[in-house]
Amino acid sequence: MKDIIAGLDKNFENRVRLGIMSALMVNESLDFNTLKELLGVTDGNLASHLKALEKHLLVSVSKQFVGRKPNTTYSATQKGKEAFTRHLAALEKLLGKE
Amino acid sequence: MKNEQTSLEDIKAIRQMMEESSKFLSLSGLSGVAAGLFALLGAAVAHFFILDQGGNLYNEFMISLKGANTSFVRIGLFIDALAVLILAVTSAWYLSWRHARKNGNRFWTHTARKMAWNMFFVLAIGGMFSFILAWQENIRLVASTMLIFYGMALLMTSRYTQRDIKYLGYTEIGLGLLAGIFLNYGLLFWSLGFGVFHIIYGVAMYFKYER
Repeated sequence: MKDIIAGLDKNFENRVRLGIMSALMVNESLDFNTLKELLGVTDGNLASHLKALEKHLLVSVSKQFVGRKPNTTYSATQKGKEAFTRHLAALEKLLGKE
Repeated sequence: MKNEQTSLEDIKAIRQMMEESSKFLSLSGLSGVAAGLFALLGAAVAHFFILDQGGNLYNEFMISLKGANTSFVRIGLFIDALAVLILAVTSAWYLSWRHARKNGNRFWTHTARKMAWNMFFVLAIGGMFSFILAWQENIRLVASTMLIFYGMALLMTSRYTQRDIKYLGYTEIGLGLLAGIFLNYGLLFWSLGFGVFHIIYGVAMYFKYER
C-alpha cells in the first residue's frame, strides 16, 4: 500500500494540473488559449498552475511571436510524462485493490 | 489521503480531457447522409445530362471522346463535381456546427482545425491529380482516383475524430481500386462510395453517437 501512495504525485492532486497534464500527454504542444478553452478556467488560475508545473520541470514553455502577437506554447517534459504515467498507474492500482 | 472515489473521478477526468483535447467529436452522422444525397444527385446529373443518358458504356464513351471535342464533358463533369463538393462540405459544416451547439460544445476548436487541415491536404493532392488526369484526357480513371484519395483522407482524419471513420476510408479505397479495374462502372462505383456508403455510415454513426 505504501508503494502505491508513493507513486501518486502531489503535483497532480489538483484537478486543473491533472487536466493540463492529460491534455499535454496527447498533444505535442498547446498554447495558453487552447488550454484555457479546454479547462474552462480563468487566465490567472491557469497561469498559476502552469507556473507551478513549470517550476517542477514537468512542463516546458516556449514563447514565439505570431506576427506581432506573442504566443506561448506549453508541452510536457520527459520528466513530466514519466511522472504522469507513474501517477496514472498508481491511481489504477489503487482502484484495482478493492 | 486519496480514497477510491476521488481516484475514480481523477481517472475519468484524465480520460475525458485526453479525448476532448485530441479529438473532434462534433462531426455529425447527418452530415454523412447529406453529403451522400448530394453525391447521388450529382451522379444522376452526370449520368443523365452530361454522359448522354447512360446510353453509352462509361469507358467506351470516354474512349470514343478521345481526340474529339471533349470540352463539354470535361467542363460539365468539373462543374458538377464542384457543385457536389461545395454542397457536401457546406452541409457537413452546418450540421456539425449545429450538433456541437446542441451539446454545448465549441465547434472551431484546435482539433477541428487539425482535422480540417489534414482532410484538405490529402484531398487537394487528389484533386490536383484528378485535374492532371482530365488534362491528359484520361477522364476514365478520375472516379477511381477520387475514391482512393478520399479514402486516404479519411484514414488520415480518423486520428482526430471518431475512429469508426477509418472503416469508411477502407471502403472508399476498396471501391476506388475496383473502379480502376472495371472502368465501365466508374460512375457506379463513385455513386456507391460517395453516395450510398456515406448514407449508410452516416445513419450508423447517428444512431451510435447521437441518439
